[in-house]
Amino acid sequence: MLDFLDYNLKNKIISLFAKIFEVRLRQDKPVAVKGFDGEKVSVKYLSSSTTKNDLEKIIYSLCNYSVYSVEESLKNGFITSNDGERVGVCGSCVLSLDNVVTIKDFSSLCIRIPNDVKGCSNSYFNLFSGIRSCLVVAKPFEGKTTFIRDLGRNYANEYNVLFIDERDELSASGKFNLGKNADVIRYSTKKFGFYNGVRSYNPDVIVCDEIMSSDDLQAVQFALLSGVKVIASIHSNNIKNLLKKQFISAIFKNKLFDDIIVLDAFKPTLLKESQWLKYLSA
Amino acid sequence: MVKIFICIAVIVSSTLIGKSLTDKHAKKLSFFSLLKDFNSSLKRNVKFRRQNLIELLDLKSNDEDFNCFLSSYKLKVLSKSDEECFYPKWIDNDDKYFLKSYIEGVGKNGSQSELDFINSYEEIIDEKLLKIKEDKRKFANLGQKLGFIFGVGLVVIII
Repeated sequence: MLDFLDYNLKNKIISLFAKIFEVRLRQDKPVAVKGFDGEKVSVKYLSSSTTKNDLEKIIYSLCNYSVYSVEESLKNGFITSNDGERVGVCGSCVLSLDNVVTIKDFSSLCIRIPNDVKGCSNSYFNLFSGIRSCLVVAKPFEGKTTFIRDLGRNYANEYNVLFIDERDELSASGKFNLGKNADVIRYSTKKFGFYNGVRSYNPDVIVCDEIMSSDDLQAVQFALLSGVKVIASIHSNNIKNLLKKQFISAIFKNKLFDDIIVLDAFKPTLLKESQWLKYLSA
Repeated sequence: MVKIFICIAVIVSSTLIGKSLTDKHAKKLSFFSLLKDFNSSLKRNVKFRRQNLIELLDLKSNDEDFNCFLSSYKLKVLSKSDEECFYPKWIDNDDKYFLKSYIEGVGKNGSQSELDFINSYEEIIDEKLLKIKEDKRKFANLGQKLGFIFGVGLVVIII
């Protein structure tokens, strides 16, 4: 964990909490660490700050000394470490014809540390026999990725499960055990993953994180209408606000997912149809 | 009889010393030829496979100096050390500066800039290789010849 950081900084961070969720490094500001101390989740600050040079060294180490190898993800504002930590990058965007070519002059990094909690989806998984498509709804930092990874792993003991791991967070380069019947496509777009996955891998279930756009949704719809079950997640603080997102309402209208699960403070709640239908008609 | 053996030993050893003094041209040629190959493999890598640099630094050749150069740089970056990496003893300051700027510059750019970087260094390496080949042709046997002449001279004095 955090192997791309300087040895001393890493040790200082690790010593703060029993379990770390997030580390924020900002230029000339103290390092902020969010973690669980055994009782509650809190944020602690290190006395030392990070310089611009430190940030550049961290980025260089993070991309295994090869910026060209992470060029595409850097354009999207993040780099994934060898251990599956997703590092959001802030800096100055270099534009060409309105497209971001790269990011330079790094000013802050947000390191999200993936947590693999085996059994966190059992309460939902044990409710039904057979596979069900489900959409997991939660705001950031509520455990969406952890939940869908565990649910996929539960299914992978019996069914063929294809993980479309756009940011290498689900498998963490193979460090997380995803079950004996799991296949993983890493760093793929959803479009490539879903279309080729359905054609080539004959999956029973496809797991993907964070539906962000109508293109993503089209790919998900393609799989669902092809008879493949899908486990996916989406950002929203509640179902009312989720349905305000234009591109998502079609999936509710057509009832493509069997279940909608809302995660709140890592706790899953299975929504009844009546709970979201009223917002859809409104 | 003993004198003959001593004379032969003096001539052989002075020839070998002379040869080793101008051996750097051969070493230099081998080193920079491997650097050219390494640069080409970097270029192919950036264009197609996009493996990270650390994996490419594991390249093994039959030139010990070149192997040490790559592996010491790998060690330097992985240990996040500010120490200098290994440079062969026979290298002059210009070449050392060139190698330093090359090895510390690779991997720090996006793909297009990286290719531009590699291409610009490819031209410089090619120019260097031409000069090294020319120097080797001129001077490679000079030390050997001088050593031999020196040995013969010494033998004449001894006799």
